Amino acid sequence: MNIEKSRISPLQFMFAIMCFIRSSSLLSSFFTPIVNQDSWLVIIFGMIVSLPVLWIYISLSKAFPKSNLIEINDLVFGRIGGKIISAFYLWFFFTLTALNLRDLGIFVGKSTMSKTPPVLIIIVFILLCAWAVYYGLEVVTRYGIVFILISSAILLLSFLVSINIMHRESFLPILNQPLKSYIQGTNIITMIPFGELVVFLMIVPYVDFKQKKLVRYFMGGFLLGGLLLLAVILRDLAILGNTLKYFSLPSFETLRIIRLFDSLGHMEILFAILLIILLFFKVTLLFYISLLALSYWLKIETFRPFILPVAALLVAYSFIMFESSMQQTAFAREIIPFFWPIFEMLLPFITLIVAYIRELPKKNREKEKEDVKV
Amino acid sequence: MFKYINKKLRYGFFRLTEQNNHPPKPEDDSKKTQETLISGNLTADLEYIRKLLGTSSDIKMHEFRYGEDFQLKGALVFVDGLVSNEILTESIMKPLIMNRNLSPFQTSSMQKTLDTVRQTILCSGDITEKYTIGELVESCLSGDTVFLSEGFDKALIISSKGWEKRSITEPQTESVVRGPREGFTENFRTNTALIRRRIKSANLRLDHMSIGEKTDTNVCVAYIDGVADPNIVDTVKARLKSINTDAIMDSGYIEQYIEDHPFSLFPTVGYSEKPDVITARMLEGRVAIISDGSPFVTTAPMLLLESFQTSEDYYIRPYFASLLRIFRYLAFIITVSAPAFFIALTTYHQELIPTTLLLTIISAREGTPFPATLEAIILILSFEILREAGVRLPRPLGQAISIVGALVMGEAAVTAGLVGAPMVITIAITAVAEFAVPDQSEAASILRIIFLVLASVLGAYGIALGFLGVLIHLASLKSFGVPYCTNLTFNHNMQDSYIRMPLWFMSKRPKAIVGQDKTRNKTNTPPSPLSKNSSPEENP
Amino acid sequence: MIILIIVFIIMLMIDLPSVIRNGKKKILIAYGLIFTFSFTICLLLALEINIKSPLMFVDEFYKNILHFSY
Repeated sequence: MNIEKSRISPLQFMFAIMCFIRSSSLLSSFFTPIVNQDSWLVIIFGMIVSLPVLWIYISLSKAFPKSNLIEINDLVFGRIGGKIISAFYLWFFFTLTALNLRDLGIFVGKSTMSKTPPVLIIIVFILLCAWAVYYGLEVVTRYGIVFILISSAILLLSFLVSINIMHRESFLPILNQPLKSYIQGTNIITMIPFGELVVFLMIVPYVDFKQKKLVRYFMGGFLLGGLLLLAVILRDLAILGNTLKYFSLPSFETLRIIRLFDSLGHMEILFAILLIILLFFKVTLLFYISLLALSYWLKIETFRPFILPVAALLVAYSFIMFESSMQQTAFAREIIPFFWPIFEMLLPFITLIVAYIRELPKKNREKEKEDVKV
Repeated sequence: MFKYINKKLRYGFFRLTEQNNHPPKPEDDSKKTQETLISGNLTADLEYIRKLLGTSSDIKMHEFRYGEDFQLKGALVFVDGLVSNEILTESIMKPLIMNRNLSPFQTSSMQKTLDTVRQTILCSGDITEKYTIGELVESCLSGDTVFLSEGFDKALIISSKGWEKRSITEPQTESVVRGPREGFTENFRTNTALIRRRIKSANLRLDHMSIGEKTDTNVCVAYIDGVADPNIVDTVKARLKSINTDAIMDSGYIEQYIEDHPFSLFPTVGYSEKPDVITARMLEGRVAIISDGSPFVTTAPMLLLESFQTSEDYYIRPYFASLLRIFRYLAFIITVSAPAFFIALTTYHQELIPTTLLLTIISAREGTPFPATLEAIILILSFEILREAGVRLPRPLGQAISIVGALVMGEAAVTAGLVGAPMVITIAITAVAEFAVPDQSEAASILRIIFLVLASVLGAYGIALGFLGVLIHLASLKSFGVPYCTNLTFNHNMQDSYIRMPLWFMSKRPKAIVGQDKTRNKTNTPPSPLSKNSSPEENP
Repeated sequence: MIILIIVFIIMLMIDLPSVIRNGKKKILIAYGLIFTFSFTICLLLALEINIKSPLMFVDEFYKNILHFSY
């Protein structure tokens, strides 16, 4: 069974990870009100805490270089156990996709199209995503680098333009908040953009690189993406200062404040377009991964007929998910830090341990050797 | 959904090709008659040829006598205007008639006499023997002279092509400030010679084929063996062979028959009028297709990048070349999206325009009767009409049109209050920017209108969606198996994409296209004046 | 409502021919299930029947039973 025939280059993979993390900068409001001026520290903490999690992913994909997550589950837990575990993942992937879709709908509604009904915005968007997904992985990941370039250019530009309105005092005082809020903040940042990298376990087998380089590209994407996220938070913090916690879209506010040559203000349109593009990348990737997981779970050779029904399902799911965005934020702050770890840490870790106990990768290698001999 | 559309389109396309698959029957018959052998009876053969070619005034059949005491009867068949009179008289007629040594022959010694004529009398470097009337007529129609003689069951085909042709001039479409100024002409041989002259490598291959049942156009597949990917060469040849049509008027026909995505807005086969551009592309591993009668040589596979490259990028130093290239990308973005942005800003996001500018725009639009979108569409339409009118008319008239159209009409429309001046400015910028990327101007003109509609419906969100849609489409395109935007998405070979690196740095040919021979130069180091090969004064 | 049904019929028209032509029963069954599920959910949403979000179950589970929450 081989659904995805095309292969992507390691660089594309790396930039896909970067772009994936970068597009989460929209969600910074989940933790900024908790840690206020120390948001940037929390990102660094989060990156450090995420390293062992990434180690789990990397060792998993190293142990099973030719299988994606669903296939790994089948190999490790057997047919029935694998199906059950995979079902959880499947639900997780769908939820992630719908969550991001919802974020996009709310964001576009709030920022640019306040009069258009959100259903329309989301439907048009998911159709575009469906078009990209139809062509497969190569098309889905191809533009990661271009998006990263554009977003970095805008980031750099906004830094240069806003130097005179940045305040050093915004960062003070450092580390004077209760320990609990740091733990919560770190927990959120570890789960929401960084831990979500577990989805990349679905596409690692379709990247053509040598095994040794996997670490380099995986970590490279993670670190660079993390740094970009850090830069965004630093900028927002330096400009907005203490008011950071009041905004649900800090970057949007930042760019609204920045003025270029006195007359050119309101750069938030740039941010809006940029964010739509980045979220497009993320939703498309997640949508693709959900469909890939679905077809592997059902053991069906193609996912193309499922694109449209699943898209409709996602639209519906994104609407019934939460009753209000307040509820969503509360959920993201209070429950996700405990709930996401099941998928992002616990299950992969169990998989790794079971695989280790059953000495599975070894068998796998022997099988491969036999294949080569035959 | 896309599968469905795809299927429908394929069906349509299939029907088109299917129609072409049934050649008309009469031609089958004429094929059979063309296989008739030459009889040796001069009068009968000439009569037969006359029957095949009909009563065309330009086909000359000159009967004459030659040899010892003018005992031999011969005839020359040629098309007046296609043959060079000089060759005909000096190298064929004169030697034949002046020769007095050729005695009459028996049937058994026919071959010997023929060889004598061929080897000692006719003064030409390209003589072939043909057996059938069909072949004979064919070569006669392509400009060769046919020599028939009483008693010979073979004909001699003497190359004498020499029709009037345009000399090599500077191409109209791709003029340069620096770089070679010669361009391809309509003449097939001249074009192949122009390429051969630039690539003296023994590996240059010029594989010939002919396409078109009626026009029988000479087409030549040119590539450098080893540099070009053999798979691509085979694909090109296979697609050329599968072309089933009766006429090839220009290389544009061939382009449309062999391109990968006939329904895409973007061209997936490139072309150029300049030999230096074509050879440079061939040296990157592309395959060139030269077709007779067209000064445009087609190249495949095409990458999106090619539209943003010019030959001059490589002849001037890299800094300015890179800057120009970035400007070209910007120009393309502007030409596609400037009117859309204007509409989106003025109708949906007024708060984003600086206040003073907003006031200017409002006061300019005060009293204009149409909504902004309609205004933009009217202006775009009138620009396209003006351009079309200017292109088709003779040059002096064309200038008059542009003055009347652009200056008088534009000025009058603004002062009369029909359209706002800011809109005119936007459309003018759009129009000018379009010419910075001439290869994609067709796609840009259509995309511009699509973006305009999207922006007027969904504002900035529509523009973002349109942008993403174009990107998805571009990412899905493939030209002869090579992804269309391969060099623009950081897969490999970024030395020559958004910017152009120095020549010595571009040591690798584009990985996605090239065959075995992957490197241009072995050292990746800048030329240094202190190296061993420098002038003796510096290293005493 | 009607728009929704039309949209789903269009979807069916687009996908079904290729699924049937494919000939594999498994794909047809899977497609049917996914399609029906998706249609039901969308229909319920359009009829404004309140569907409990699975995330809300998780929410309650964590808050009231496990007491895991910040």
